[in-house]
Amino acid sequence: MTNLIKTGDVIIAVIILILTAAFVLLPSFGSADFAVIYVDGKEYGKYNLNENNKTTVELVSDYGHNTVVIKNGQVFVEKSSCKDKLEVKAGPIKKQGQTLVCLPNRVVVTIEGGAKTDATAF
Amino acid sequence: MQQRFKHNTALLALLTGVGLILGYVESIIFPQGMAYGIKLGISNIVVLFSLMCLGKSNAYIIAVVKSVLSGALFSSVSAIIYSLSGVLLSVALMSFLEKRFYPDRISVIGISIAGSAAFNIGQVIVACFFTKTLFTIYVLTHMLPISIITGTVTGIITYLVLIRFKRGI
Repeated sequence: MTNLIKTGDVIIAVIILILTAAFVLLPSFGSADFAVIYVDGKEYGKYNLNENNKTTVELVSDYGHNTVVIKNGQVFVEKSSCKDKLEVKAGPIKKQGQTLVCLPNRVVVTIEGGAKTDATAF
Repeated sequence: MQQRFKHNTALLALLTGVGLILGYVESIIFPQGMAYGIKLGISNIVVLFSLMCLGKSNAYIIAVVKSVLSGALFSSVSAIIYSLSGVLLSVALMSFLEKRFYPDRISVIGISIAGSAAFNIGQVIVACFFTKTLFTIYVLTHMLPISIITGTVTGIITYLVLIRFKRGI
C-alpha cells in the first residue's frame, strides 16, 4: 500500500483545485448591480439588486416551474419543480458573476455589474 | 493479459452488464445523487478496469454501450447525451494518462481522479449547449472538488480489484 499514491496523483489533484479556485475567484471582482434571469438561453428579465424591496419572480416554461426571489441585494431560488433542486440548495448569491443554474428547467440566474452597460451607453 | 482477452465479446458484455448493475445499485442507494447532484460513479470502476486490463478500444466500447443502455433503461435521452460526452472525454484523458505516465509516475487513483473530473467537465460542456449560456460553467466550482473525492474512492476500489484479478491469473 506504500506505493499506492504517486506524485502524479497529487499533481492531478492540485491542478483540479487550481482550476476550481480560478472559477471561484475570477468573477468576484466588480460591483453587483443586476440579477439577470435566462430561460432556455433567452434573457427573461433584469432586476436591480440595489433596491431594498423584495421581488418574487415566477418562471413557468415548457421545462418546469421555478420561483426566484430577489431580496436585500441577494438572489435565491425558493422553489423548483426539478428533481435534484441544486439551485435551491446552492443558496443565495450576491457577487458579480455568481450563477444559479437549473439544468432540467433550463433556467440560469446570474449577477451582472452595471459599470459595463454604463460605459457602452456613452 | 491484454493479448488473452483482446477480442472476447462475451467478456465485454459481462463487464458492461456489471457496469449497468453498479450504476443501478448506486441510483437505488442515492436516488437523487448525493449533495449537489454529484454521483459517486461506481460504474466508472468497470471502465477503468477494462482500460487497464483490456486496452483503450475495449474501454471505449464498454463506456459507450454502458452509457446508452443505462440511459435507455433507467433514465432519459438527455441523460444519454450528458453521460456520453462525459464518458468519451473521461476515457480519452484516462487512456492518455495510462499510456504516458502509468505505472511510473501515476497510479490508478490519479487516473481515476482525472477521469472523474473529465466526466464532469464533459457533462457541463453539454449543459452549456442545453442552457445556451456560458454561465452554466460555474456549476463546475462545486463539481470539481468533489470529483477529487469520488475519483479517489473509485480509484482505490479499482486498485483493490486489479490486485485480486492479477493474483487470480
